[in-house]
Amino acid sequence: MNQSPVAIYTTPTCGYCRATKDLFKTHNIAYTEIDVSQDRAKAREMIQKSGQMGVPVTIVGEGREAQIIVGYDRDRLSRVLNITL
Amino acid sequence: MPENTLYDVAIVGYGPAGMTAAIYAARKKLKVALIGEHKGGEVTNSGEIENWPGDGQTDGITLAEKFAAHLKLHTDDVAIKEERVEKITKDADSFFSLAAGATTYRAKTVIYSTGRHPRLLHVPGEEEFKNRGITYCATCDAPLFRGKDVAVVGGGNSGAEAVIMLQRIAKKIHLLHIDDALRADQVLINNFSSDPNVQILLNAKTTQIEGEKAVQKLTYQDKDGATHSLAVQGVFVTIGSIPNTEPVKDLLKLDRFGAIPADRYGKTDLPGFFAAGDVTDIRDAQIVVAAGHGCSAALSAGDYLSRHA
Repeated sequence: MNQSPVAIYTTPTCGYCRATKDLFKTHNIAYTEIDVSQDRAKAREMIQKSGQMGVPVTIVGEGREAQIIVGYDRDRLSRVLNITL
Repeated sequence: MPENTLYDVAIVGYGPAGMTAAIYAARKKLKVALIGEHKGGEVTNSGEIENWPGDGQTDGITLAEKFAAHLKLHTDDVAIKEERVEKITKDADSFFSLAAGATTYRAKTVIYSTGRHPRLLHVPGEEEFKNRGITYCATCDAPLFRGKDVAVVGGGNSGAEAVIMLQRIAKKIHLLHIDDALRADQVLINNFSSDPNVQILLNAKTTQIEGEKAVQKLTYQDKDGATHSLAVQGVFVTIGSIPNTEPVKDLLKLDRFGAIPADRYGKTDLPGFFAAGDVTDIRDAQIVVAAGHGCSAALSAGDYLSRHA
């Protein structure tokens, strides 16, 4: 099981955000959720980190080692989180 | 690797058509696999929903959860596989093989209900600025455009719904539509027709999107061919959708829009292969219609199985 911290930038109405969080729950992956609709500074942070403006954005790990996954990208999520979908 | 189970019905697609088909097929005591990678499908990105009977006002995520909870009552009969089907073939024994990642599922019948995905504008700058100001999911991404000037391209119901959502978020909204009248329902248009922050541009053909790191400018052509520019930081593309038929394009004949021709009972030209919802040539892309079509397709599949046992 991957022990790196997992953070996800979301908006409350986004279905792909929900799908990504469901995937975390199914695989018992603890995560921190950041609602960018409520926090403009965090929205800017997400855009700066991911170089784009679409949600969800998942960050696995920290600092220079962090892996950034844009969207409900099951292939990359499964690889980075080391889970079998 | 082939799975050992031979299913009576493989339902492809996890939206309202597929989930309704699964409930009906389960109640017929058929052996069902439902294969789809996104629970609820595009419904989850629908935002506010006010035309699902019995619910008055709901939203896409809540409704999809209710469908899924209902489907869960039938887990004895329905195997849910959260995977993407890449190719479907009909075998010599007239059963179907469905390739999904490393697994190949086998089934006597298929109900194909994979819905649609958003249509692209195909203008210069679109590829470059996708998710850098251009978005195809207003419900998802609108909150990121707080206080900004934006364009919504496409004056159908999705475009009108995007405008309504953006009224509370963006500063100035330009709604561009290619024809001389909006296609959206009047009940939606009424929400913004007198809003001074919403500018409706008819006969406006988007020709280019430009910027540096992110979108800064949208260019459009008016009906006289003159070009105009709008300074915008966001572009919401809502110009319709394309059926998700790639996995079956060699299996049966599609119509000129790429949709699967299917009758009201979900029957297609290919025996044992049924289709339902937005992926078909059905007129109305509505949740309630897709659910109804999924029901009919399941009953058709059940009937087919009873005749070909």
